[in-house]
Formats: sequence, C-alpha cells, structure tokens
Amino acid sequence: MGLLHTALELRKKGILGINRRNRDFILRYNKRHLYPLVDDKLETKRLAVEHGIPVPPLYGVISTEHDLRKLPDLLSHHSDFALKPAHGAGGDGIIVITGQRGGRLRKSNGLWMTVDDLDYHISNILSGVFSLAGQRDNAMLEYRVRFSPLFEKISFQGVPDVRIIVLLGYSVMAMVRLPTRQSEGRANLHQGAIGAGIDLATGRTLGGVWLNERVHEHPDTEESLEGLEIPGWEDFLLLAARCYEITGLGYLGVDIVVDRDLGPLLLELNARPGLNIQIANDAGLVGRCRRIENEPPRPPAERVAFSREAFGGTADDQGRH
Amino acid sequence: MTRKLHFSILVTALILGGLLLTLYQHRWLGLPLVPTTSQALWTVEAQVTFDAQAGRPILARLLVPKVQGELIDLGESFVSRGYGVTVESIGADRRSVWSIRRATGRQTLFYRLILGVGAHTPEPSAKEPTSVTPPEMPPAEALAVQTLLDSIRRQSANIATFTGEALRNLRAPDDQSARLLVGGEPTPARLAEAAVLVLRSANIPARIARALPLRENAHASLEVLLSAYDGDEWLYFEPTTGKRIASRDTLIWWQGANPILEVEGGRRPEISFSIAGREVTALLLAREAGAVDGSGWINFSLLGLPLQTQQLYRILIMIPVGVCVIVFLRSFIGIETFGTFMPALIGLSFRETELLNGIVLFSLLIAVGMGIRMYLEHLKLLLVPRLAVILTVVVLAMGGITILSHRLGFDRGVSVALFPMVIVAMTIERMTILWEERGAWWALVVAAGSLFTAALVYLVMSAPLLTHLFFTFPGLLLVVMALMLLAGSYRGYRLSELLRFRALVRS
Repeated sequence: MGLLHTALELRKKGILGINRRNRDFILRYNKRHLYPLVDDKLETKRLAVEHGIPVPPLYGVISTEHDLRKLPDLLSHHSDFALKPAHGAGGDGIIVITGQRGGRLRKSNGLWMTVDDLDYHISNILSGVFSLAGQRDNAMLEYRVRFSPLFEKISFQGVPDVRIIVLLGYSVMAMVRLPTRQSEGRANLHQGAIGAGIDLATGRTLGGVWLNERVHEHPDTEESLEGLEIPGWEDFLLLAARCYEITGLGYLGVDIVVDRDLGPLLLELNARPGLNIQIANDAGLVGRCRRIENEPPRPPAERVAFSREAFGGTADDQGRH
Repeated sequence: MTRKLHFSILVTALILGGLLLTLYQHRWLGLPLVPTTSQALWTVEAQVTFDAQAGRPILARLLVPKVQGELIDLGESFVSRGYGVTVESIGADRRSVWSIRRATGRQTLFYRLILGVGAHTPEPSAKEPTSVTPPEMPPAEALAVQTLLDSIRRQSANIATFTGEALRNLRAPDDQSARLLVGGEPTPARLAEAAVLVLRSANIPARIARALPLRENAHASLEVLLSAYDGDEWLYFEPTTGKRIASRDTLIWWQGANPILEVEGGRRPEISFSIAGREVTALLLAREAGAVDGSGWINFSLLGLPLQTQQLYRILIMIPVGVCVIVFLRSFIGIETFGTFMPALIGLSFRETELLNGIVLFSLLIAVGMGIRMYLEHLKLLLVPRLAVILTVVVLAMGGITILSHRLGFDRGVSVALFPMVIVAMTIERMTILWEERGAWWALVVAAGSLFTAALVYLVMSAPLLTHLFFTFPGLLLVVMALMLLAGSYRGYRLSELLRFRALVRS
C-alpha cells in the first residue's frame, strides 16, 4: 500500500527510474559504438583536447607492466597528481597524491603510501580490477585539480565536481558533488559524497542529498549547502552542451571540476549517468526530458539559453512544471 | 508504434505457441501435467494347456480381449513353440488361432497383454443397432418377465438404473417371478442370463460378458458380467451386486455366447489367467503408449532420449527458468548481485548440497577465501596469478571441509566439491575489491543479495512440479521467453528505487 503510493507519487513527480532510463534514453540515444569514447578516459581527453575543451593535463600513461619503469621518472617530475584507471567506473581505483617526502607519497586523505604500494595499485589497474568488464586497462597520471576556494567551506578534503545531465545537447539538470569524511574525499554519491542541486538558470546551489536523504548543511563543516553561486555558470553549461557534438551521445552525464588556476575542466563523461541527481534537485527528469525531445536541434549557445529559461527556478518551482 | 505492435505480436505468439504445444502434448499425447501421478501397468497372461493327440493337426482357438474404454493396449504377444498364429475377428470379439501340423505331449500356449490405464477418453466405438428382437419364451416365463418389467419400470430412469433394478429384482429371494427366471441358486451366470432375458424383452440390447478384474492375481478367473447398451456405449454390471463396473478396473475378455477356448486335435484343454501389476509413472506410460500408437511424436521430445541424457536435460532446461527469476529480481526488485548470472550457477550447485548446507558451505568458502585474499594483498601479486592462488585455496578449503564433515559424519559436506570453483574464486576477488572500494557494509549487502537470489533460483529450479512441467513440456520455455521479453520492456520503478527515492515523496 505504502509502496504503491510511493510509486504513484514518484510518477507524478516525473522521477526517472533505472529501467526507464535504460530503455527510453540510454538505449535510444546512445549508440553502442560510441561508448568507448566515454568509457575510456584517455579517449575522452583526446577528444576534448581536439575540440578545445579544457581538461586536466595528462602527465603519462602506463599501459603495461613494462611501462612501470617510467613511474620513477614521472614521480620525479610531478610531486602531486591523480592516478586513474582509464576504464574505471564510479570513482573506483582512483588515487590522488598531494605530495611526496623521502620516497613516500601522501594521499589526499592524509595517509602515506610507498612507491611499492603505488606500483601494486597500478598493476591492479592494468589487470583490469577496476575496469567495467574486467578487461585489461591503462593507468593514467594527470594533473591534480587544485581546490577552488569556491567550495572550501562545503567540502571535505577532495575536490567537488559539477555533474550536468545533457540530453541531445540540452542541459537537463545539474548538481555539485561534495566530498565528505564518509566518502573519504571522493565525489561519488554512492561512496557517501553529498549531492547538491543547482538551479540551471542562476548556477546557485539548492539543498543537498546525502546517503539518499535530504540535507541542508554539510555534515562535516556544518556550512549551509544552499544559495552558493557558481561563478561563470554559463561556461559550465556551454561546455556540457558541446559534449553532445563531440561525442554524438544523446544522453550524457558531464562531470566538470573547478580548478583554482585553470577554471572549469572537463573531468569525464558518463554514458549511464546515475539518477540520484533527482534527489539532489528534488525534481524529476522525465518531464524535462520530454520537453527537450520536442525541441529542434540548435547550436550549443541557444540550447544553453533554452535550458536556463525552461528549467530555471527553485526546486519547488521545478516540481510543479 | 509499429515496434510496439511487433513486440506485442511476438510476445503473444510466444505465449500462444508455448501453451498450444503444451496443450497438444497434454491432450493428445496424454503427457501428464503433474509429476506424481503414477499409474498402473498390468500384464495379463492367459495360459492354455492341452494334450496333443498324436498324428492330428492341432488348431487352438482362443478368444482374446479387445481393449477398450480407459484401458490402453500397450502390446500383446503370442508365445508358443512352433505354432503359427493368426488373429481374426468374429462379431464383436477377436480370436487368436494357433495352428501346427503335428505335436506331441502336453502343449502350452501363452497369450500376453500389457495394459495401461489411460488418462484420456478414447473415441467412442461405432454405434451398434439398438433394436432387439424380443426373445421367444414359454408363456409362464413371458408372464414372469412382464411382471418384473412392470415393477422395474416404476423404479428406474435410464438404462443404467433399469439394469441395476432388474438385477436387484432378480436377486430378491421371495419373488416368484424372479425365482422362475433365475431357475435355481442365484449364481452370477444364472442372474446374468435371466437379466439378459428381461432387458431384451424391454428392447434393450444386452448380453453376457466375461471379464477379468484388474487385480494382482496369479490365479485369476473370468467373471460373468452383464452388459447392456445404453445407446452410446456398453455398460457393465456385476450380476450379484448390481454394481456398475468402471471400465478402468476390468478387462472385458469377450462378450456373447462363444466358448473362450476350442481345441481341435487336443485333449483336456485348460486355461488359466494371471495378472501382474506394477506402478509406473504416467510419463513412462505415455511414452510406451506413444511407441505403440506408432505416432512416434514422443520420440522427438526429450522423453525419447536415453535416460542419462534426459537427466542432463532435466537440469539444463531449468536454467532459463532460474535465469528468468534473476531477470525479475533485477528488473522489478533491483537486488544487487555479484555478476548477472553468478547466482544461477551457485543456485545450480545447491541442487547437490541442498539449500541450508549450500548456503553455509558457500559462506564458509567465501569467508576462508577472503581471509586468504586479504593476506595476499600484502604480497602485491598480479591479478591472474592471484586469482590462481585463490582458486587453489578454494580447492584446498573444499577438500578440508569435505574431510572434516566426512569425519564428523555429515555427508552433505562432501558435496561442497560441486561448487563451481572458478565462480567462487571470482566472487572472492570481486567481493574483496568491493569491500575495499565501497566498504564492508556494501560488500555484505551485495553478498546477501547474491545468496538470496541463488537460494530463490535453486528453489525454483528444483521444484519437482516445475522440473516436470518444463522437462515434459519444453514449449513452456517459450512462455518463459515471453516473460523475459516483457521484463525487458518494463519501464516502471524497481522496488529498490521506491526506497531510494522515498525522500522525494516526503518533502
């Protein structure tokens, strides 16, 4: 009885479920042969660079055990970096090194690891431990994104990122993901990060969601999650909108980080973006997606204008659309 | 729109096709829907013995039954040394004729008939003439018959009750008319003969039949039955009790007045009957019936395979059903499992270990394996060698568990060896990664989901009724396929999402 009520309420609110997301959006708009473009972070990076979209600079790629010999050299040139499996999913296998001292590496959570540990981790990455289908993988070392003072008060350790869902090039919904002590500095919601909805029109944060529950303050810093304005919001939206053209994928999750020095950077693209963004925004995706499906193709800038106009407003307003 | 139509047609076609195939197999091939119906299979044997007369050709004629009603003829054989055998029809009866030019000494001939009790009703036999010429009889008897008929007619509604009443009236000890007609001690034969007279006078076709009651009996003898024709079929009655005999309990040997056995060129002919019964599964019966029918269709089903192969397919054919359970758990409930079909394989191995033991043993294996895996973490091995080490540990742990449980006298522990080792090793690896990346709680949730799914899959795959149904009627897999297609087109919420998005409703 309660469940049926819940189902009806969610439906009324236009909440998108996994089954429907897969059938109506992912299967319909994302051609399978395009998946490698986003599943392989190296490929995404290459595409982005080719189209002039800013990304964290790549330091090096390790693709075989043999390549591990390159590691000392890389470490000597870059005292801090992010190590990622190119085919990783959900943030698994990512290690962020913030500094080195005496042959030891300091991780973003403040713990230390040896070069041997890093070696082993990379060899795990190469074996495909963290990749989607368990296939062999590449490990990539890239620029460690510097904390922007923007989110200092509402994130713990790690770097927050902005997730924008893009349908056919139109931004549908956005949120900022804030690391917490629980998520050990990582920005993934299922690892315990906070998601805070963003008003598409203004770039101001709405309330947040933590572990599937609505929250208004950051659990670690106790700062309010609401009303924070993301500067240069238009740039974020434009960057996200352009990802449609460069990948050809119709339903995308675009992850953007804000670097203290480099500004917004495209971190990665996701062809199967999660649905928690709806909780963060207290709004459903279905209605917005349906509106977009009726819109004609437009250049990116016009699409951004449409999205800001159509989906702006507070969470409550959106709920009534 | 057209895709939708296409889809609906496909699903409907699959469901209809599956059900029709099943209906055909059930209705026309007589395959039973329920596995437990065991049915009787009777071997009826008539043994004819006589002394051959030297120098004379021998001709032995034996009336043999015409199998009818709910009984199924599964084959008859005529066993005799050196005799030629032919079967001929005389009137409503069949007769086998053994012949030999010369023979000496005591001769023994066997007639053997294997009978099944069918689940389906046979097509009605050709209609028989309903008009009867009233028998001629002396006036005293005619009067007695008339008197009886008057009272019978008052108390009966149809042929069946009429016959019952006639027999009851004839048995009445103080009824003068009855005594006259029966003419002495009311033996079954006399009662039946008198009843035939009464029925025929009332224009009802009636005759005497001899039958063998189908009961385990090494020295069976023919019983006299009264048979009356009700316009559709012959009904049979026990003369002494007036009870109607069900056609599945009795083998009608022959009807009418011919003698059962005639022997030319032989002396002291004797005949004896024996009946042996055994319970067989209805499936076997259907199979044998199919083979006898010559329809042979059954030979193109799984039932036509050698027994060992059948056992294999009994398991294989249930895998899609188990997988269908997983499909539903994932699309409608949203349960998290290690790998999509890993629970199906684990569930399959529960067949050997049984559920509770299976769960305990599996958890034990995973726990031991994870302990070793955590230790291996320090050695910093490459993935494939590490998996190989885990696999070896799993095999060793299986051996250990088996030895221990064997020593302690738990036989079930021995079956731990049937777990798919590779799957167990992979599960250990995946669970360890999950444990480290997403935390112990999440790893345990996923493990519990996997075990629950495996248990459910096992229960479904090993349910005797389901196994029987899908094995006997593989067409049902088309229906399962349709269900999978439907699940594949389900766009609604999963149960897990209702919980996950609860926060959205409350606000």
